[in-house]
This record gives sequence, structure tokens and C-alpha cells, in this order.
Amino acid sequence: MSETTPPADRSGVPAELIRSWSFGKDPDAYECPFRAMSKLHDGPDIFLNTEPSLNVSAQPGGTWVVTRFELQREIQQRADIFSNKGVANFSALLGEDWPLIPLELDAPDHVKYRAMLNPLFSPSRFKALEPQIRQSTVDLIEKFRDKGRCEFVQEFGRPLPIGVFLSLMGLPFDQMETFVGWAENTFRGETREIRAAGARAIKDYLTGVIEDRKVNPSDDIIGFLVKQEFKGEPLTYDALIGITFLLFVGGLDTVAATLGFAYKALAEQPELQRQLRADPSLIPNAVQEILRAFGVVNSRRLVAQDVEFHGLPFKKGDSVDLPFALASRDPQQYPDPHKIDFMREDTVTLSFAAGPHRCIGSHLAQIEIRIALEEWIARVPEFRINPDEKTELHLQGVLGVDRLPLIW
Amino acid sequence: MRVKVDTSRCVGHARCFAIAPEVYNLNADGYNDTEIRIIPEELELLARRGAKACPERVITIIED
Repeated sequence: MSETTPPADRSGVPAELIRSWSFGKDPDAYECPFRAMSKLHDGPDIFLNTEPSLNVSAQPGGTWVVTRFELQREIQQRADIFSNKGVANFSALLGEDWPLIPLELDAPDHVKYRAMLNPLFSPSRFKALEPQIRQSTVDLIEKFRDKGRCEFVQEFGRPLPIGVFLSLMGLPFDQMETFVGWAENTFRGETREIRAAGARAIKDYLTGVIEDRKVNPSDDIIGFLVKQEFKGEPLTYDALIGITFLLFVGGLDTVAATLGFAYKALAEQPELQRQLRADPSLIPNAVQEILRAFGVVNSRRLVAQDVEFHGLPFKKGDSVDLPFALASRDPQQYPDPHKIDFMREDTVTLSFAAGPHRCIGSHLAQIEIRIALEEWIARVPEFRINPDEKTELHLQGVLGVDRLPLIW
Repeated sequence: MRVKVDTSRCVGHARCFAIAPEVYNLNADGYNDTEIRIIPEELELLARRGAKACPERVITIIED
């Protein structure tokens, strides 16, 4: 990290808070992105980054990066001054202007859409789906268990959560590879053209499904949405796309990423596996510790009005980056933050965000991770990373694992 | 001892319920609707742990 000349409109910002941080250029980030990012904890609580941030290209005047758990929570809870409008901006890739719903809305519309969607994503609803999720988990494990090896991401980490998600949405599982390819291109395509083509493919496909559900009623989420009203009118086409596009990109990526990092840690630290095998009742707590330690999402907010925030002059329109990995490993919040410790008590995590935009899939994600651990620990002996094959991570979009070869 | 929940600031993490279902109640959306409750002695520890686990910090313990 080096210091650079302050841009003209940043005269009120102390020079030592203007920095040039390129996470993707840190070779350590590809070993453990969480430890690598945590190097920022030696610096200021908030700084102005002049380099392109994790999810956006370089902004004129820089991007605020918030390194502390406590400050990330405060910003997410203060939805009155930190807006979500335009934070993901996938529609701009297509030269269009529709928000992801509810993510890119502020109150009061945000509140109304959450009220519509919350019953579909409640803890009790997913509790009822547990037997089905467990069966899918067992089926996946039984396919590779006798081989003594698997490529974790391809054979388990992705198909488990994606299969559950596609079934909820009423989308065909045999298209999984295609869907993942579109999402990969949208998030991590090397050029703007590739990203736009990914977003276009997703939107065109969802358009077809929405039109189909209007004439062929179904009891999946898309079938539910086409019957809903907003302010007394059926949902508009843009609203249906905004909701289904968000569920699509949110449902394909995040749990797979979390499982990837969790199983990498279990493979590297067999004592953690032994602990769970010796006492499976620790698994619910282990799930919370995994969520705590592996905040994979890089969230952001846009400043809604000029405001002084903890002494810093935030200007309307400024981008405020909230890499959850920094909250995960903040030594001011967690003693020994890089230690994966399944005995931590009543851990609070920001990995599902805080404030009104709390991840709507959080309850499903927790059940999936718990069942994944329960069935894996019961069926697969002690496993480790195959040193003869490559493990691959990615840092763009969410932090994630592309390849994790395991042997036992 | 009583627990008081600022339900207007509950965003539905449901960690309180996961830890102390005997103390905290969720509505059909999965949000806490326990505004205030007197806690019997045998549930005090659970009530405290549920409050501590709230990422929003909207659960207050009132010692009577």
C-alpha cells in the first residue's frame, strides 16, 4: 500500500487516509484472501482508495474502504444516509435502468418488497425443506465417496446449494452448468462485453420463464411472483426481472463460496474435522464460526447526502466499500480472528449483512451448511487437499473457490 | 429480569430464536415479535445469550 496525491475535491481528507490498495495484486490474496485483506487492519479504520475497488472500477475521487466490523455495521444500519440505489448496477451493463429488488431499493419501496418476499424465506419454511435438502446432500456424497477423492467445488460445493435453489425457483437442474457459466461471466468476465453477454443471457432466460409462468401457474417462487401485486397493480416486467435476476445471481454463488472456504480449512486443519467427528453436536456452532470467519461478500453503499462520518467528509454519491472479509477478521471484534475455533460462543457475524438489507437467503444458507457438515462428517473419512492438483480461488464478485481437489 | 426487543429495528437474523426459542418468538416472516417479556429465572442465561447474539443489538436486558 502506498500513499498518493489527494484529488482536488478531497482537500478535507487527511493525506494519510488516501491510499492506493489493489487487493488483486497481492499474491497472498490467492493463498488466503481473509488473512491478506486483514493486513488493512494495521492501517486506518476508513481510508480513501484511489485504485479500483473490489467490485467497481476506479471512481474519480476514490472509494472509501471500511475496515472495521463496528463501522461496517453502523453504515449498514444507517440506511437513511447510505443508499443501496445502484450498488450492483447489472442493468447498466445492458444499457438499461432497472434495480435489483429488493437489494437496490431504499425505503419505503424496499420495505414493501421485503414484506412480500420474507414469508418465502423464513426459518420455518426452510425447516420444512430439511428432509429434501438432506436427501440431495446424501445423493451427492454417495456419488464420489467410494472413489476416495472429489473435486469439491464441481461435485459438491456448487451442486448442493444450486440444486436446492433451482428447485425453489422451478428451474431445471440439468441446466446448472449453463446457469453457472452465465453468472460467472456476469460477475467475473474479463471484459465489459463478456459481463454484458452474461447478464443478457440471464435476463433473456428469466423473461421466457416469467412469460411461461403467467400462462402455466406453478407453486415455485417465480410462479408465486407473477401472481403478486404491488400497490394494487400486478408486478411490472421490470420488477419481476429485478427480483428474479437478484435471486438468480445471489442463489448461485454465495453458499458455494462459503462451503469452498470452509472445506479448504477443514482439509488443511484435520484437527477441526476430528473435533466434529468426536462430537457432531458442535456442528451448529461450527456453522456460525464458518460464517463468522468467511465473509465472502464485498458489499457497498452510496452516500445519499453530504455528511461528516466519524470526522470524515463523505460527499453525496461517494462509494463506500464494505468487504465483509474485513469484518470477519477484525481483531477489535474477535480475539485471534484468523483462528477457526468451533468453541467460540454466541458469535455475532456480519457475513449476512446488517440492517434492513440482511441477506434474505440467510436461513436457507445456514441449513445447507449445517446439513452439508452433518452428512459429510458421517460419511467421508478424514480428508485432505490433494497436493498433486491445483487449488484455485477467485477474488472478484464474491471471494470464492473455483477448484478444491480433496482426497481421503 | 425482562427482555425488551426494539422490533422496529429487527431485520430477521433470527439468531435470538436459534439460541433461545423458549424466550423469543418469530412471526411468519421470521422477525422477532417479542416486544417485552418477563423471564423466569431458569431461562435467564438463555435469554442473555440470545440477546448477545443479535447482530443488530436491538435486544435489551432489563434487570428488575
